[in-house]
Amino acid sequence: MMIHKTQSDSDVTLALTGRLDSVTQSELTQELEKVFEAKINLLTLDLSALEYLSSAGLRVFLSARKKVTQMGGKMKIVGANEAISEILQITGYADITVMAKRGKR
Amino acid sequence: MITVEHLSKKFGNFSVLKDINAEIKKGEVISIIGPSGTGKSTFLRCLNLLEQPSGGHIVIDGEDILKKGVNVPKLRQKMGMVFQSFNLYEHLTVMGNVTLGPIKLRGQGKKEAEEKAAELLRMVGLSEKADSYPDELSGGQKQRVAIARCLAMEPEIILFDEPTSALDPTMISEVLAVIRRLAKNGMTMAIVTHEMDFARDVSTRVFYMDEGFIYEEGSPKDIFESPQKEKTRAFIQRLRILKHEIGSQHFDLYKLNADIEAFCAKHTIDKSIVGNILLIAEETLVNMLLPLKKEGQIISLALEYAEKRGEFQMVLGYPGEVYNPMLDEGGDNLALMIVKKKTKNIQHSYSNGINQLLISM
Repeated sequence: MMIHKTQSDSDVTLALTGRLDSVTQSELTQELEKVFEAKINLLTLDLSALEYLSSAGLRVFLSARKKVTQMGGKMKIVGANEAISEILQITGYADITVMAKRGKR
Repeated sequence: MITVEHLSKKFGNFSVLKDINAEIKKGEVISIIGPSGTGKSTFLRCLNLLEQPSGGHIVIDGEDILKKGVNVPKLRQKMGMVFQSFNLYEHLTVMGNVTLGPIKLRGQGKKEAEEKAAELLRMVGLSEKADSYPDELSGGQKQRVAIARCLAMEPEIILFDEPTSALDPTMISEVLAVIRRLAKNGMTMAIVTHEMDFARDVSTRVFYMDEGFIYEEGSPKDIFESPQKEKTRAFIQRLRILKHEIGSQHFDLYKLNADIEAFCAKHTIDKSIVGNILLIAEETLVNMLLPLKKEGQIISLALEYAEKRGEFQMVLGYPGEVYNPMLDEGGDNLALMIVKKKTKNIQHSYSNGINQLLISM
């Protein structure tokens, strides 16, 4: 998995590419630990280039949301493809997910 | 075009080919399939006398080529051969490889041979590589050069001996595409292959070889969908099942993924379905079964594709106490919810100390 970080003030966007699974979840966990060293207002996870997501990744999202909320900030997820949106919905993430309407799967 | 009667081949006392009888007509594309070590390649190599048969007859255009005094080099010009390991001349450029035969054996002028070669290289998509040497090419490119070289001799039939077995999965399709095109153009071919989808699409007839003879032959539909004889059936059945065993807590998820992807590729399964299968495998193994696995226990995974119903079944076997993870609502439930959402039906059974989870997708 590749993680691309962009930041302006206290808004951080992490764009994820590839697979977020039980093997790669630790990479995201580590990246988030660094992000949370400062106060975050808005954390955006851009999943446009994410191909695969399993529950291991969802757990990371869940704990990140908790952390951001504790800081008084918000988290949103954008760009998930159809298969990944389905997983996000199963697990009650739809409320924070802004789905990018894309032509491709 | 070629008639083979009672062909046999022994290496010492070991009979590789026992009694081969076959006919290949002009324009046919014959796929030769079967388990390893059943003489498929030997059969091909006997046809153009790279191996000297021990007995029988091979009649080509009315002439028995096993008679004394047959002009073997002339005969080989009629039959091109493409090998698993390419067998290009490393010290010659691509152009040199393709023109060598026509110049030396067919007496073509250099210019004529190069014009023809340029045309063939264009056909296999390698015009740009004419001046490259083989070690500058990928495996798939080398094999396409080998095919162009073969065509330069204007053979009446091409024998392919596992042409994609030495290639990475990414390169297999580029070589198969070239062979498909030849089939479309009416080239007579005999292909030993393990690419079953390819065999099914491209061939006019399939020979299933086992025990040193052609055990069963028929149309691709006959052989792949309703094989009549026991060993053919068992062989075709095995193709539909992927088996994997997990012995370590830290098993290699990506190796399993690669195996599942390769298995699905063989059956041309849609990418989104492959994604689901990978997900079910990861959730059940990593989140449900591995945490409970004790040292020395083995979890087995079998994936079967029921083509008629277009349905996948995954069977997980794991030892220990009676345990159905689908009823276990402990933890955060994320894995359980994903598995339930992405599957049609899950059944649990237990016998002789082994739990079995039958998952239909």
